[in-house]
Formats: sequence, C-alpha cells, structure tokens
Amino acid sequence: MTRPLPSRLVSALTVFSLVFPVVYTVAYYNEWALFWFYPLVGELYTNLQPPSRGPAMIYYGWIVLAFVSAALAGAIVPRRWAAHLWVGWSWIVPLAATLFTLAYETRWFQG
Amino acid sequence: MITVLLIFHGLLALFLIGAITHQAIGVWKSKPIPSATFFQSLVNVRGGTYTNVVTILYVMTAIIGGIIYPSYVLDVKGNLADAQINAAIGAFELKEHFAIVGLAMLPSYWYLWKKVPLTEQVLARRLNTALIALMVWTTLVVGHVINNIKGLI
Repeated sequence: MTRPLPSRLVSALTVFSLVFPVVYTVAYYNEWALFWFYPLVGELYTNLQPPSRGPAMIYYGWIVLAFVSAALAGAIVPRRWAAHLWVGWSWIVPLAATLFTLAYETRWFQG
Repeated sequence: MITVLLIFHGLLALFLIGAITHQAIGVWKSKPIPSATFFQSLVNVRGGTYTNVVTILYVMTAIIGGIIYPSYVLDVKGNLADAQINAAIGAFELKEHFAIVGLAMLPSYWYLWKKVPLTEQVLARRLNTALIALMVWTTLVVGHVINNIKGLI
C-alpha cells in the first residue's frame, strides 16, 4: 500500500498533474493548439483551412499541447523543487481550472 | 461502428460513475460506523480498492470518447447550431473540458490513494476524489442529455 514509487517518477507525475490543467485552460482560452483536425477529410493541419474542408476540431490540438508541455515540465523540473510542492495544489489547480471554465463557458447560456 | 463505440462509452461511464460515487462518498467517513442501513453500507466501502478500477475506467472512457468525438462534430454539433440550441453546445464544451481536467488529475488522485497512508493527506484525497466525481457526473449527464437531444432533432 505504501511502497514508495521512485521519487523521480513521483515528482514528474506531481508536476504533470499541476501543469496540464493550467496549459490546457490557457490554450483553449486563447485558442492555441499544435494542430487542427478536420474530421470530414481526416487530416491534421498546423493552420486553419478554408471552410470547404469541413468543420475544424481544435480539441486534440489543445490536449497534445497540454500533454507535451506537462510532460516536459515533469521531466525538467528538479526533484527538490517538486518535493516542496504543497499537496493542496493537487485539487486547487484543477478546481481553479474548473471554475474558470464554468465562468468562461457561460457565454453559451446567455440569451 | 460509431454506434457500438458510443454504447460502449456509455456503459463504461456507468461503471465509472458507480465506482467513483462509492469512493467519493466513502472517503468522507471519519470514523468506523456500523453497516446496518443501506446508506451506512454505502459509506463503509473500502475506498482504496476502487482506485485502480476508477483510473482504468476513466482512461478507457476518455479514449473512446476521443475516438467518437469527430462524429459529434460532424453529425450533432451542426444540427444543434442549426436548431440554435446553444446551451447544449455549451454543455458539451463543459463536458470536454471537465473530462480532460479530470484525466490530468488521475496521477495525483492515484498517488494519494495508493501510495500515501490513508491517515495522511486526508483532505487532499477527499477533494481530489470529489472533484473527479464531479467531472464524471457532469460528463455523463451532459453526454446522456446530448444523446437524447440528438434523437429529437
């Protein structure tokens, strides 16, 4: 039950869990993505395409951007820094992302 | 094929909501209680035993959701926009964001349940579990409602 994980892995996972929601939230708020997926033609593009290609999906682009950023952060943040992270951040950061999302998406429910 | 995946996605989400709800209720128990009533039995679950199942179900449900997501964009979202049901589109936006934030929480959630003694970091474990339960409830209810709306328009 309490057998320790390698501390390098623990710190990487901790940082990953904290960075991912932040990068994802910033990415979707600003519509930053590594790519757009066009499901009608089944192709990825790094820039927006004309409407003839069908609707664009940015969701995968946000996820990959957040995943890569969080994985990189988990890999490069020194273990001694991660060890000083307060465990409360593990719920405060996602809660903040959730509340921001709720506030931002109210635009769909007005009028 | 998409219909089969959608049904499988829904069934996995039902298993997931059952598991995380049990765990999220049980984690707030602060002292031993008898299991004389239904609610007491519900609260008395051994929360730690649900952790791996919740993690695996969450990941599987999210992966299948990601696979069928283009069908929503192509076959449903446009109809919702044409019918000016903006609240449904907004609710699905919330679903997609919540689902991915919950997915990102899984490493810390798993670590708190499986690698930290249950007498330590109690508040963090409770709130991590409650937040993931909130994500799961929101995503399942929204997905179910959207599916119903799609059947009506």
